[in-house]
Order: sequence, then C-alpha cells, then structure tokens
Amino acid sequence: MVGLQEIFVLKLFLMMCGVTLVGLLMGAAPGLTATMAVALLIPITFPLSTTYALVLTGTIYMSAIYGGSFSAILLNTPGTPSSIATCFDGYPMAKRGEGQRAILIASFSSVYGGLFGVIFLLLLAVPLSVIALKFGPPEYFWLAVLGITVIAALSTGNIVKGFIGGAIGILISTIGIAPVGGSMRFTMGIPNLNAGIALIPALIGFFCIPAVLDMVVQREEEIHLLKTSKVQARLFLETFKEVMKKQVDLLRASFIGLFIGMLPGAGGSVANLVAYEEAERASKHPEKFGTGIPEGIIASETANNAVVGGSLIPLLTLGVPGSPPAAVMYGALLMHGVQPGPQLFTGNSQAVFTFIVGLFVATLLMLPIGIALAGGMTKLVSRLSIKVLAPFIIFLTIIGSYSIRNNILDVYIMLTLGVLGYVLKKLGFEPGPITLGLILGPIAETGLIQSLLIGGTLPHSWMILFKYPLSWVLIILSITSLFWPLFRKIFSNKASNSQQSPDPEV
Amino acid sequence: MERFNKRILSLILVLVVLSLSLTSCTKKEAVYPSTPITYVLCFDPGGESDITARFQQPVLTKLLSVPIAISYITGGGGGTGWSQLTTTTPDGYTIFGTNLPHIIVQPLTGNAGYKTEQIDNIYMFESTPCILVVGQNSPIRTFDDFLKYAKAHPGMSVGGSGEPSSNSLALARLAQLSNLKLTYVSFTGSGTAITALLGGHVDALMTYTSTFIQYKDKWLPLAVATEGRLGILPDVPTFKELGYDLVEKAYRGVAVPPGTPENIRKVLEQAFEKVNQDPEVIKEMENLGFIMENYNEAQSKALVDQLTPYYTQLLETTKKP
Amino acid sequence: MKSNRIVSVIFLLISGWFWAESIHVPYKDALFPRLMALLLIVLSLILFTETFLKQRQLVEQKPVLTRRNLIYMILFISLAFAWLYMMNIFGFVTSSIVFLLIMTLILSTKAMKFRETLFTLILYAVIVIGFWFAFSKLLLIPLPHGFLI
Repeated sequence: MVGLQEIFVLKLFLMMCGVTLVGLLMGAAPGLTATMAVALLIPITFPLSTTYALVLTGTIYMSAIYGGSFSAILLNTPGTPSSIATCFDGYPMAKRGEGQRAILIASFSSVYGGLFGVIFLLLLAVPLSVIALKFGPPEYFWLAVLGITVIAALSTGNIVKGFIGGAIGILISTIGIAPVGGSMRFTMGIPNLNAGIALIPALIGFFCIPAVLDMVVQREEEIHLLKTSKVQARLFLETFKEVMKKQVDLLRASFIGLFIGMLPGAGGSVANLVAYEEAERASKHPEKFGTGIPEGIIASETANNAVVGGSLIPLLTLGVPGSPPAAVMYGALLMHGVQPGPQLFTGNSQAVFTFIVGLFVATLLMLPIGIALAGGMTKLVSRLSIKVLAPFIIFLTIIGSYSIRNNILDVYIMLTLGVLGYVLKKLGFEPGPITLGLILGPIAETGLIQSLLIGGTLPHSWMILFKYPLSWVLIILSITSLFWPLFRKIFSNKASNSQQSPDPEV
Repeated sequence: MERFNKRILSLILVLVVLSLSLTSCTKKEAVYPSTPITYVLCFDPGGESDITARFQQPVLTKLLSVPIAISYITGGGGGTGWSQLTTTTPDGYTIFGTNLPHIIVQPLTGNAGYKTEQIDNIYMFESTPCILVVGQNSPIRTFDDFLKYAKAHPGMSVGGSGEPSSNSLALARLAQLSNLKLTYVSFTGSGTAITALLGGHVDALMTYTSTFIQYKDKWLPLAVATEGRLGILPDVPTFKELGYDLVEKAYRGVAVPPGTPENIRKVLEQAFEKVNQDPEVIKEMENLGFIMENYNEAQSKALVDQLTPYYTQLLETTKKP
Repeated sequence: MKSNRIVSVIFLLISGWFWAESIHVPYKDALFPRLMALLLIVLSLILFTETFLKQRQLVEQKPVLTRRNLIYMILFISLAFAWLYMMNIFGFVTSSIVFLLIMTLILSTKAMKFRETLFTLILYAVIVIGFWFAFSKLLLIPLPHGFLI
C-alpha cells in the first residue's frame, strides 16, 4: 500500500525519533503536558506534508503520555495528569532502589496500552464510535460518580477523609464560571479567579510541593535515591517477562483506557486512576497497592497510553476529540485539509490508514528511546543531592504552572495549594482524592445540570437520570465500587472464620 | 560565615549587572514591527479561533516580516485573556483574538474583568452565523414542524455551545419572538454538543454554520440566522424570510490593548485587511463554513456600538428570575 | 485524634461558606455546589462523631516534625513565594538564578566551599538561560517578565 511506503522513509523516521524525544521530555517535566506538546508541534509541522504532520503529531502525543511516568517514578510528581496513579507505586519502588525496574515496567505497559489503543482504532473505530454516542449527559454524570467512588478504594487510610478530600476537590472545581449556566461563582471579587482553579497548577501543587517539602526534611541525606541495581540486559528481559505474564491486568487496564479515551470529555487523567482502582479491586492482595508493586504501575501506564488510540476514535469517526491533546490534533487535521468526521473514513481513508500505521510504529519506537532516556535520567537524578534537586523541581513547577495560561496567579495558586496539600496530607487527607474531585467535579456537574435541563419535559426532571439502561449499568457499577471495601472485609472475615486448623504445609 | 555572605552578595551584584546588559541588547527599535508579535488566542487550541489564526499566520508573517507566535490564555470563556488584554503593554507586540458577542455580553452579565470599551478591535475578519438543525432521524423536517413540536413539547431541549454565547442568545431571541418555551442546554465547546445531537440526547441544535458543514450528511438544517440566504447553503431559509427577525452571527476579530499608538494600529489594520484578501486564506476559511467579513477598526467599533443595545435589551428581557 | 475534630469543624465552616455564597447565583448554577456543600457537611459530621466513638486501632505514629525541620520548610516555601514576586520585578532569568542558588545554599548541610558554590552558580546560570532561550526564543512560549530578562 502506498501509505506504508511513506512510513519507512528514513527522513520521517529520524524526525519521529526526534519528536519522540521531545515528547518524552515534555511529558516528563512536571507542568508541561501532552496537550502542550501537541500544540507545540502544530506550527512546526504545518509546512510538511499531511502524512508527515499527522504521524509526527501522533508520535508526540503518545510519547508525552509515556514520558509522564518518569517523573512520577523518580520524583513522586506526575509529569502529566495521566500519570498520577503511577506515583503511588512507582515512587516507592524507586525509593527501594528499583527505579530502573519501575521505569521498565512503565515502558512495557505504555507500549502495550498504546498498541492496544491503536489496533482498536484501526479495526473497530466505527462500531466503537456508535457506543460512544450512546453516552449522553445522564451517562456522563454517572460516569463521574463512578469515578468518584474510586476514592473508596484509593483511600489507604480513613475512607471518610478520602471522600472529604474528594468533596473539597469538587467544591474547588466549582470556583469560576459555571460550566452550564455561565455565571460567575465563588470568585470573591477577584477577576483572575473567573477562570477558576486550573487543573495543572493544582495538580502540581498537590503532588509536587509536598514531595519537595518532604525532601527538605530529608536534606541531611545526600543521595536522593538508593543506587539503582546495575545489571541492565538481564533486568530488561526479566521485567519484560514479568510484565507480559500479567496479561489480565494489561488487558483490563487497556480496555479501561480505550473506553474512557473514547468518551469526549474524559481523558487520560481519569483513566489512569480508574484503572488503578480496578486493578486494586481485582487483586488478590489489594493492601499491597501503594507499597510499590508492579501491578500498580501496569494499571496506570497501560490505561493512559490506551487512551491515545481511544481518544482518536471519536476524533476520526465523529470529528469530536476524545481528550484535550486530541482536540489540538483536530485543529492540526483541519489545517491540512483533512476533515475529521463521518466523511473521513470514506473520503480520506488513505491518509488515515497511514496515520494509524505511523502511530503504531511510533508506539514501538518510544520503547528504546524512552528506556535510554529514562536510564540516563535515573542515573542523573540519583546522583543529584537534594540541595540541587529540590530547588530545581520548584523551578520546573514555576515554569509549568505559568505556561498553562500565562497567568502568574496560577503559580501563586500552585504554591498555595502545595502548602495546603502538604498540611492536608499530614492530617490524613491524601492528594489523590482531592485531584480526582477537581477533575471529575466539572464532568459531574455538567452531566447533572444538562440532564436536568433536558429532562425538563418529563414529569419530574430528576427522572431522566434513571431513564436509560446505560445509566443503570453505570449506577450498579458505582454502587459495587463504593461498597467493595465493605464486601471485601465481609468475605475475608468469612474466609478466616471457616479456617479451623492451621495450614499443615507451613 | 560573613566572608561567605559577602561572596554571595558580590556574585549577585555581578548577576544583576550581567542581566542589565543583556536586556539592553533587546531594546526595541523605532520601526514597527521589528521583533516577533504574539498573537494571543483566548480559547483552547483546536477551536475555531485557533484554526483561523493558523490560516492567517503564514500570510501575516510574510506581510509584517516578523514571526507571529500563537499563544493561548484560556479560561472564563475567553474572559481571562481579554481581561489580560486591558493590562498588556500597548506596544503592538501582543495582539489578541476577539469574539463577538462575547466581548459585549460578558461584561454585561457579571464582573468579567474588563469592559467592552477597553477592547480596541482592529479588524473583524470572519463570522459564523447561527443555524438551527435537527438529526436526520428527527420527526421534525421543517421549521414549521419545529414550531409545532415545540408547542406540543414545551421545554424541548436545544443544545448549543456555551452560555452566554451567540448560540444561547439566538435561541433566547427565537423563544422570545415565537413565544415558545425552549430549553437551552449549554455544552462546553462544539464537540460535546455535536455528539449530543448525533446521539439523540437533545431534540435540536442551535449551532454555527462552520459546525453544520462538517455534518451536513447527518443533520437537517431548518433555518439560518442571516440577512439573506447563504451561498454555501442556498436551500436553507433564513429566519427572516420565515417571519422571525433573528440575525445572529459570531464574529471573530483581533484587538490591541487600549492606548496603542495610531501608527501601530494602522499597520495592523492594513495587514489584516490584506490577509483577508489572500485567496488561499479565503478558500480555506470558506471551505470550513466561515463567512469572510471585512470590518476595519472604525467599522468594528460601529458594529460593536450597534450590537450592544440589542444584546443589552435581549439579556434584560430574557433574564430568568 | 484531636486534629480530626478541629479539621471537621473547619470543613463545616467551608461548606457553610459555599452554601451561603451560592445565593448569588441562579438556581441551575447553585444546585451542584449546594449539593456538594451538603455532602461535605454530612461527611464532616461523620468525621466529627468518629472522634468520640471508641478508639480504633491507632495508626502508626507518623514521624514527628522537629521544630528545626519546620523552620526549614517554612523558609523554603517563603523563598519560593519571594522568587515568584521577584520574577515580576527582576525578570525570569535573574530571579531564577539567584533563588536557585540561595535555596541550594540553605539546604546544604555542610557549608559549601567557594569552588562548589561558584560551580553551582555557573551550572544554574547555564540551565536557566538555556530554558529561557528554549522557551521564549525557540518555542515562543512567554515566561514571566520583569524589567530585566
């Protein structure tokens, strides 16, 4: 096919390598996001041919999402919102000196998830888009509720505190312009707050700053991470086998990522957290999550890269992007005269096919580049002392928070929320649920209010939330998710009660 | 310790001197423009403003002989960017994309952080009129059917992008003129509004022609809110010819901060005028359903002055308790 | 724990504030915040009452924060805020180099020798200028500006 020939051109290949590297770096830097990385590439690829431009844009998207895992693992700060859950198990692993292993796990998972998403994009885009269309405002509301019940599983400590964190996150997300009605809320007369509390500065604040403050306390320790184990090639093969054995975990996370990516309005930030929680639920040893086990990283990184392919499904079939970076790609496509939407697969199928193949290659490509880069980064970070690392992270967070909206207030917010996040953490309120509330709050509110508006023709507008079967599927999932810790406790109690005699094999 | 501190102080002094000398190298010359111009967009990348700017960018760069850097200040439905406009240095090196009716309506509905008068529109270069559409499978086939349906189902849902926005105001006006109870359901950006209609979650959509063009095989247009029928949509009746005085378009333009010198404004005005005549730009824009407009600085101001009382009145009379 | 009690009261007050402030907005925009404020009130009350019920198994004592460490943290964060403030006055490059260095000096456990300080200073200068170049010249992404660069 003509398209394939275009991919295996050296020039394009080299450009893809360069773009992958940039994407990894941008993804890894806390504060620079995949969306920004894609937006950055648009003017650069404008003069190129459509095929090249699309392939390169897809490449940076995929690699930026993967890159987010590096800082999550090494610095306990998510490089992008899609890697929040990677911190939970990645960083403890790194602290134990298993940084290389954690990164390898993240790498294999990212590639697996990425390929999964792209394959489904290639084969099942149109049927999947039909499913995506079935999601209306009530379904989005229940999906957000489901996402919030994830807090129940995420809370390692007090569940009430977890939900309080979530509620706080949601309330903070209501500051600014109301998503449906458009009125200004809770801004206390400060016009700069009209835009609300931006997610990225809040994310950076809640995750990075407490980690840095912990570093300040540990400044006596000169080496930040324990020396990572040396044996390279053997570790590579071992970890590969280890990850590949967990096909169930990989597939589960991939499906979650694909699915959430497919829904416009929910992206990698939601996917990695939901996948993490689902992995914890399905696990035989859920209490180990958060201590540094591979399953945690696998769940998060597989899901967030599967989102890439997933988010392109509604983009290419319906013309509606499934995630913020996909929204930027939409603009890129239009600029090259490719009209994403229903006519795309019929009219421009050649360009689309080439694009998808290119994306496939890009996903494979990021493995060697990513591992090489990460290896270098790990060595670098482990050799830096805290007195250099901590200020430098602050430096990065300032740049990152500022570059979102060119608003110095965002950086102040980031620092303030950081301090707040640290205090809350010490009081037992983890940042995970709060950020989840921040992310899901607008989705929940939009879904709810839109549903009530649409349901206005029914005898009681709230009925619309319970009208459709798809809503009920989500409701049941939410209830199960909410009470799962309880079920689990009841089951394990029964199991231990029925064991009369000690196990003779001990 | 003291010797140490002295060393630090002297180092800092060296730094300050260094940076002072560095900044003096970047002083701007007298001829405008001589350094890159930042074109700030107040909406997310990938949207209509972004696409328009990207089409304009290469032509502008050629005309002005400096790079044009696109950057984003998003939030508040554009308001964050526009309030920053008012405090930006009026040296012509930062220009902002503007949108009507947003810049008129936002200050009217609350503390937007800026006033309409502070936005000095240099040029209005395109518009997207509102159009009322339903899905192909809808029982509604004409505008008349729509009116009948609305009467039979008071509170029927019509989706649109944003609130207050061109879409929401168009529907409010329609409801006012026809005395029907129409529920506007606001979606963030056009994307989710599109899936809402495609998925049948709303009864109809009050959207822009640029959106409709992409889905003309899936949607049925009922009426368009322009003065006369559009060349790209010759079979779509206007609201006016159907008896409803509803003309509603979202204009896009570019503005500079208040107090920008006259010569700079003239340079920009002429540049955008030429950009708007570039056949490549025109072709790309019209392909996507945008209508080219040509309002220079004075005409833009007149347009704003003309529309302000209309929107003020509309908002007043449709204000919910 | 006593702290839980105080915290739950604080959250009760916060939810109250949100509830009160939502009077200013029309119904459809006040609904959700009010629901959430209500949820927070309920949760805070649960937390509050929890503190009175029988003691659950004590969570492992978290390492206590020494006064010395607390001072270092407060100092560090204050420096970060000062850095931000200075950026708008002195510009991105100058403030960053200066504050990076100050923070490093503060955090060093043994006083840094002159040679090491100088080396760090040069390193920081290179890195910061490199970032400045990449962002404002190559990528054309604006950085905070003051009257110096």
